[in-house]
Amino acid sequence: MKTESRLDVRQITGLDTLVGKIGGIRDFPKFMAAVTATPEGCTVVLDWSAIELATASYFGETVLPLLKMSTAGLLDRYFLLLGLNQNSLDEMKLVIEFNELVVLVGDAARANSVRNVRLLGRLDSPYFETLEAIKASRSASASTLHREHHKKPMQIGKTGWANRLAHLSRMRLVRKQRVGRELVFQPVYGGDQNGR
Amino acid sequence: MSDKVLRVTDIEHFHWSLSEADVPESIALDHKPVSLAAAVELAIIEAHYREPDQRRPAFGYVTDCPTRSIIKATNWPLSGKLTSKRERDAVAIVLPTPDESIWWSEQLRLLKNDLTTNHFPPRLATALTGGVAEMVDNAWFHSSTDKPALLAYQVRKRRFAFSVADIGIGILDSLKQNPKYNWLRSSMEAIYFAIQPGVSRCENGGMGFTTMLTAMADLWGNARIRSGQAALLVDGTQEIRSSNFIYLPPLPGLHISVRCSLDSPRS
Repeated sequence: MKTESRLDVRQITGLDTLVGKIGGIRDFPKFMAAVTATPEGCTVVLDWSAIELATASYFGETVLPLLKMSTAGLLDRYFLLLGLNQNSLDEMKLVIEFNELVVLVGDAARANSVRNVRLLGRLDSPYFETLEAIKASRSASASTLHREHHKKPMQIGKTGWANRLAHLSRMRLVRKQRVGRELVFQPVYGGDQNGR
Repeated sequence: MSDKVLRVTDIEHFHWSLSEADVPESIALDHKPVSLAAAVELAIIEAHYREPDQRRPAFGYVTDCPTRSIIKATNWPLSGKLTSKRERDAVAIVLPTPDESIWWSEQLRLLKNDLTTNHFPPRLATALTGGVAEMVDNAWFHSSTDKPALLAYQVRKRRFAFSVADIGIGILDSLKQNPKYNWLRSSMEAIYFAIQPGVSRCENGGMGFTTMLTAMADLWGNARIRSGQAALLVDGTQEIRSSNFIYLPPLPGLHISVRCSLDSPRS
């Protein structure tokens, strides 16, 4: 099953300057059409590398509704925003933090690869630690995390891990899969060869 | 016939004089170099006094200046035609509709080029261009009028000034369309709320002013947000930035003007 689809925002919109609420409203159907054409459950890598300028109002009408739909369970996709330049990243941060969301962002690297995958937005430290633990083990359930971390000074019960994982899954930051009777969680994006 | 000479160096004072005085038949404006913001505000005032219910003085001009003449050349706000005028370092663009997205992108690229040519670092030039674009978008989206918006800007070495104006319903009437803000009673309150992130007449909006003010944050200069009967003056010419609200005679729409520099005024 294909787990990743890359969409070039320059190709979707036909422009390299994406500004304003009106521009966002104009382009949202194009984003929606492109995203829904990708397989269900995949990670959609929205590539902003060819975009010179994108503003908060534009993101508020395009990316924000997509993220809200996915966290509400109305759109079964995971998102990674790739190649935002510093200006656009600052603008995106405004929108994400104001709406109390968290999204994965990454930098474009050679040969169509993604490096430096990180979070944009505020994620409380327990969730952040859980996400790091999943990234480290590549795939984990509440039971495995409980087993691996039970010797740490701050012991967390299995239910605690399950709650944290469920929250990360609702935020579309980890992928959930049922294996037998167990729910197993995986990172949304595998990361590059250097594990970044 | 009475004749009154008013110097348009302080637009606030000028408009107060005009609104308090028994409106003369003719006003001769003694033009010294007029700031871009003053020239745009003058165009709004003139449009306001053209309304049928207003007593209208005849505006005469003793001398002319580039900022005034370029605004006048666009015939804004009377003309609804998409127009772009450039005269030396000043540009004025009449923006009737947001439909021309490729043309508008090109205008923004030209602005960014002007900024980088005049020693603004690329990242800052991009941020300022974004701020201008957001203000124009605000005018298009919230003014609720079919009359066009105006963008005027002037780029000089390490200095930048721009004005975005519309003659629509203004911030107060726009915000009151949102049930969350329909308790607002004054333009001053409305401006105060409008500059906060996420405050807008509709959901998912209200980021435009944040974009603009963030772009200005590392620069010396000032901003003026004028709507209805009030204006917010942000003074960033001192080490410590300050903001003041002032009451003004009523004018239609919204006028945002920014003047900024890479250098401290004292350097």
